[in-house]
Amino acid sequence: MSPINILVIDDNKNDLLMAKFVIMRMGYNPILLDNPSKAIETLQGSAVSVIVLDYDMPGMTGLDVLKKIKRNTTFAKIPIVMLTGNSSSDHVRNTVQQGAMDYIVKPIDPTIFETKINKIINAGLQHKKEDWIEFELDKATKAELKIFNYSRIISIGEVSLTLAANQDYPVGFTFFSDAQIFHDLEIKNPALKIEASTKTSDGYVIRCTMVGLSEVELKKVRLYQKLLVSKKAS
Amino acid sequence: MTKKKFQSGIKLKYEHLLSFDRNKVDELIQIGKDINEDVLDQMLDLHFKTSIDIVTEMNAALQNSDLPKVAELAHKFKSNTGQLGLLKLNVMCGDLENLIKDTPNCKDEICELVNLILHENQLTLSKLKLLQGQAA
Repeated sequence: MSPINILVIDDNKNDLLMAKFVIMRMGYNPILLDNPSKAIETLQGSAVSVIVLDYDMPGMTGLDVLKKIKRNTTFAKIPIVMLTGNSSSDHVRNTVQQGAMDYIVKPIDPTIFETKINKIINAGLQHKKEDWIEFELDKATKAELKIFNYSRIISIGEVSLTLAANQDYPVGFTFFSDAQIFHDLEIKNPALKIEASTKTSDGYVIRCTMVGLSEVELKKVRLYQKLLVSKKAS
Repeated sequence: MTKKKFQSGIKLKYEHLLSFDRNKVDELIQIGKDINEDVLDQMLDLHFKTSIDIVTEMNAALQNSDLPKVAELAHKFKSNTGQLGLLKLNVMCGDLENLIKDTPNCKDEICELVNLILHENQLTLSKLKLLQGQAA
């Protein structure tokens, strides 16, 4: 698993050092930048999960950097937390209006810093998970492919099954199955992801993983598997 | 307000404040233990270097009557001192920043406060060096 990178942009070296230690304690990888004009260049070099950006910097201010990042389509979605020595309502309003997700008042309080950054990272991970489910469902729905009625199940394992089909399907392809076996097990249209596809003399043997089954559904599959094994043995 | 009254007032204002907050120091020591790094030592080393640069620049800016620069440095020093829990310097820097912003014509008061910061910084640096020696 790749490390979670947090970019901190602050011209103040003392604040950068403090942020570095707190981020290390959180188990993430700090990327420190004391020159705000190199923000985009730095983002191009590493995958960053959160940006912590100082509000008050001479020359290019934190707001300038914030606007620049938000204008860049590649990096606009990276959550930005502003660091500010001033918690006045004007400051906060400015940062939020420009697209910052939150702000942290200096000096950095490790507990507040950790809580706010973790909240954003966890929300990001949740989004990623939801995006993935949505993507898989969308792919399966658009495909409108229910191949099981036209194929034969060869074997069924705890979380996988092998079937014979007359058509090749791309590895990674996900589809809903309406095979009779799932009707019998009262599992409604489970999603199957193709792991491997091998050509044989009379078609293809396809190995699939069952995606998103509940614990109850898995129990049913396991029971079916046991029954199948004992039936074969007898 | 006369200059004399301001001086006595300003001393009274900061007298009750601690030079540094022991809880903040303990917090830095704990972070160091958690990540297996000498956090306090590194923070202090950087502070010794940057504080000398800042107060030197602040003094020079004051001599040149460059008050915006003095305010900018006070803001920076406020952040640095807050990070280490240097309460007295932290409050003084905040006051200096506000004084310049609100009443830039009060040159005497500004000079007095800068001098107080320079003096307090000397005292604090000595205490921090002692603390660093004890921690080592």
